[in-house]
Amino acid sequence: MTVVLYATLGKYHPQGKGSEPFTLRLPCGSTVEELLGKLGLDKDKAKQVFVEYASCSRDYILKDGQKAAIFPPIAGG
Amino acid sequence: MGKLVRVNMSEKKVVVEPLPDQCEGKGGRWLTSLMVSEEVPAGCHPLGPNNKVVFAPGILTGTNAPNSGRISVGAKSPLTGGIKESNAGTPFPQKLARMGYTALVVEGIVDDDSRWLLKLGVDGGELVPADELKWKGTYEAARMLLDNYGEKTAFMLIGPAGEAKMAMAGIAFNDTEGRPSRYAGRGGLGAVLGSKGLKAIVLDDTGAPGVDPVDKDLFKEGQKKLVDAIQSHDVTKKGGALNSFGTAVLINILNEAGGLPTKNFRSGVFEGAQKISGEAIAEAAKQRGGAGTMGHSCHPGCIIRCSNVYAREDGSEHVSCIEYESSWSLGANCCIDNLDHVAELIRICNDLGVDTIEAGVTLGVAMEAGLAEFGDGPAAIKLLGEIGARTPLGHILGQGAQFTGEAYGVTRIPTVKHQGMPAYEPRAVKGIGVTYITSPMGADHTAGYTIAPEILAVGGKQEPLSTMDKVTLSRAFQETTAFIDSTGYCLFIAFPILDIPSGFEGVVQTVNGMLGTGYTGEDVGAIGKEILQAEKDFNTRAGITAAADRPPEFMRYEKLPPHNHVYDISDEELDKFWN
Ligand code: SF4
Repeated sequence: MTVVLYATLGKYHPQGKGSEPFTLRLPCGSTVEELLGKLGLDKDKAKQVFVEYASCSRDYILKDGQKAAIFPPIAGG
Repeated sequence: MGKLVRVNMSEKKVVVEPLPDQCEGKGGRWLTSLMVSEEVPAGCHPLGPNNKVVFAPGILTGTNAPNSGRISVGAKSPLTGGIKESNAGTPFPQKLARMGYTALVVEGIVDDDSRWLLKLGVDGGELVPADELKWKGTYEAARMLLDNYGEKTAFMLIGPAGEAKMAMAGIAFNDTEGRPSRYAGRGGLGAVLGSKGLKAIVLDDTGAPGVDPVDKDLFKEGQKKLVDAIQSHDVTKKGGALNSFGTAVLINILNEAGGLPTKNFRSGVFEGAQKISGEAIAEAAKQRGGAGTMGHSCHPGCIIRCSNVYAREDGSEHVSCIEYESSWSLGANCCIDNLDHVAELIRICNDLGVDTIEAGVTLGVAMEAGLAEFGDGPAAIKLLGEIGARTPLGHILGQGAQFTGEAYGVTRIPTVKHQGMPAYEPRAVKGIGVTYITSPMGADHTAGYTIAPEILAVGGKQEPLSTMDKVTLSRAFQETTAFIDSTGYCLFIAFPILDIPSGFEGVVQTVNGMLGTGYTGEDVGAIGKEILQAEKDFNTRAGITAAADRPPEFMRYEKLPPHNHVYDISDEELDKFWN
């Protein structure tokens, strides 16, 4: 699947490319929780994960071909 | 006791009076909305002799409470026809408050085409002829003021758009380095000053007595709690998202939520979002070096520092600052994904003295009308040039999105009460739609920022597409906001205080320490309610009825991709806001 790490999470990009999308192989039926675990992102760091234009829970089961957009705590106005 | 300055543009007189009793203990939006309600006939022409412009620093402005350097500006708006309060963070009100002034009222009108400058000192002020500033862009005018009055001078300015009485004209204040870049942008207040012939104000704070809290210990206790909350909350702490990426850090999250208005509100997703995001701005600052800066502050005492300076490829300064709203309005909303073009559009807006939100929404409507292609940055730059050249087309555009849309027969006009919608799609984020629709200000995101729980998961979490309880949610936000807008605090303190109870206590304690009052947490909502009601009553007297508390019709029948929702909070439900 495709993963994007936004804002301060950019530093966890496996190739050091900030917020550029990258591909990650995950076992079929993996959850958001497992994805975050694989990236070494704990709950405090990764505040929200958006898939299919919605913020999803940690037990959301990811499907092949989806994009996961991962955000730290952010705000603005 | 506070002082009030009255500047009469008909008689060219400046009088300092004691603050009326009913104004004591008030500041910011509380004071501007109260004074406009009492002194401005609701039925008056916004550009006629009976309108007044009221400036008021917040209750805490001038103290060393963190992030407390905001000024509210109020009047009857030429854009909405209703009451307006627009605020900005700048050193200007910090000086004004320390000089002992609680409010400054500009009234009357010039009877010729002259321009005037108000010089205000601790003992009073005078109006001096300023025809040399006539039609000058704000950058050149600011330079002239700093050359004449000193590099540290705090100033207010209007640009040529204000002088031409265009309804998208805002009011510029100096930032910490003397740029005319901090705007009370919304609602056309620059045009009201233009009608009065007041081009600029400069402050000489020599001998300023300063601002002293009544109960210093309580003030300090509250101040510490608020500082701790700001410095410990993930979004506002040093190195946090706001500080590192600025407000445009929101571009990507709104895009991923399908709520970033794109192509004049035709879609909630913009393909080029990443290129105009806070991440891209920070990357440019790093790559280009030179003047590029993140973590810039709009006034001394800000400990969040969300502002930035954007540099050209050669490192020279292009503009300060690229905010989320501007990057969206002049970027995604017009399908422009070139950050240098966006920066140039912002620079032109600042120079002309226009609101970047209204300008971007107007350009989106103009593109809809076929005046330029979506995505064509240079064509957008040319259209803004029409405003600067004051051509007939420039005068149409300068009146804002509603007027432009009507002039060209456009039906997709994203406004409420004639004010352009900001950077959150109501069909994808239902609660912010309630704020746009019900706020006495017209479409204004800051009036009740339900985005915090709906998108950012700050202050709880709410499902953005759900219509459930969104009127109640927006009302709670609008009431609290009206209070915060009165304190002088930057609204971004709301993020930590929504999550950290002691931060909220700190806000109330600083106000009580300052004034010697005994307000409680509940009073915050009650005061906010009173302010909103006064604003609503003004609007009712001005002829703005419940029929204006509606979304633009196209949002009722046009489904917005990717969620394919219409705006589905009913009229009956919206009307409950004021129950
Ligand atoms: S957080 Fe941003 S807007 Fe608020 S006071 Fe600081 S620089 Fe100004």
